[in-house]
Amino acid sequence: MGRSFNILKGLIYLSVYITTTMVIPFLTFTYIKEMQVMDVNIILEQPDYERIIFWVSAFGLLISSCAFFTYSSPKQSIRKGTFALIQVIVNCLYVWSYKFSGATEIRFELIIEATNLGFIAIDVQNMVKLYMGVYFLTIVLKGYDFFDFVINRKTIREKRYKTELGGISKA
Amino acid sequence: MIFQTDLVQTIADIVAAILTFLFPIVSPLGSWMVSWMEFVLQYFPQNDLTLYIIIFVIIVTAGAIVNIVWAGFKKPSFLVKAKKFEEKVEEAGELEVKVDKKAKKLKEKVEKAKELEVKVDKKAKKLKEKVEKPKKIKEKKAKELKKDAKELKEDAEELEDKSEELKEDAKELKEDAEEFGEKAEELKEDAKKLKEGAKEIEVEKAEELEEKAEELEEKAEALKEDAKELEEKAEEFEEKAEDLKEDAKELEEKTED
Repeated sequence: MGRSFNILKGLIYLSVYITTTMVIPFLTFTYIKEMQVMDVNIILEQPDYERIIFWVSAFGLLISSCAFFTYSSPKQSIRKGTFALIQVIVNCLYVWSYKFSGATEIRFELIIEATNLGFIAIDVQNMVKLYMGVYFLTIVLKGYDFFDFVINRKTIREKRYKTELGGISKA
Repeated sequence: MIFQTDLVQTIADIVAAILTFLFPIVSPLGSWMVSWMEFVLQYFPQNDLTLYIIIFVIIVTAGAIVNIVWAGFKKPSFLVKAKKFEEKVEEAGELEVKVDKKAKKLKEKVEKAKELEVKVDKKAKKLKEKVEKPKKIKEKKAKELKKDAKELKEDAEELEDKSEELKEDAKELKEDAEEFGEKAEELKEDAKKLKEGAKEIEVEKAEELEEKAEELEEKAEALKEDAKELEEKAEEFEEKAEDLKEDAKELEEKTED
């Protein structure tokens, strides 16, 4: 347990976040870009797809790097608290950026044998708002953690080293 | 069809109920979140990934460097200080025991010297009485008196040696007491520093240590006084030994006459 363990932990979480915030969304949107249900082609509009992939990649990179910093930092440290808070905020932007990329109103065109039958639009804006509200509570929680780490820094550090090094005994 | 099964329908109903319940509470928060995010997102580049890649590289590199250099396993400085201080207090405690032993030993020596002084005084008195007796008896006992004078001289010399030894011991004790005083002073300063640096958590501990330092300082002061007293006593003994030596010489001369 030391520096290498911290870095390894950071790298593991970096890969987890790259997978969950970039690879899986990318594969999902690529899959549903040209989906076929009961011989009906459901095509995601090209500009929407590109916007989604752009925001997924951009915020995916930011979230993953923040996750690396957070998980490679020592337990209950101020830097861990800081980056955890930043990560949650960037995560909010990541989720909300779906709106700009069209993900809160996903439009699918219905095409059968080169005939356009119209489109299906899924409006998930209310769902995203609800999700954002829950995320706000997560931000509050992370903010509380951050202030707790700052205020109780001495106690946390003392506790961390007390068992290892004996600390000061009360004479 | 999968969407028509009872289980899925039940789950969907439960989720819908939770969402419906939470919606009026959480939705306004969500709206507020949306407003600030819309504002912030205007400033994010929307066509170029370069900036995001640069930020990613910077954060990962900084994270790796920071968490390798400061892995969080180094002992905090306030604990190092406290431990050092504790060691100092222990050292002072050992010194205290040492000085106490020395003081006890010196007191015993002073007692012995006092006994010797009384003995020598008695002998000197006896000799003087013998010298003052009639000449006849003096002649008879001249040899004996000479022997007594010699003995007295030896005793006086012994007393002188003892006083010399006492003087040295007193000096040593004085030095020890001074060292002890300095240590107590140092401890007091350390306690003050610790108190200033530690703030809330260690204040109690620092106060305790400061009290100990003050106690040690008082002890050192007392020991210094003891050493001074012993030195005076040693000087007194030296003078007495000198007197006795002279008396012995005088007696010797008288018996030779």
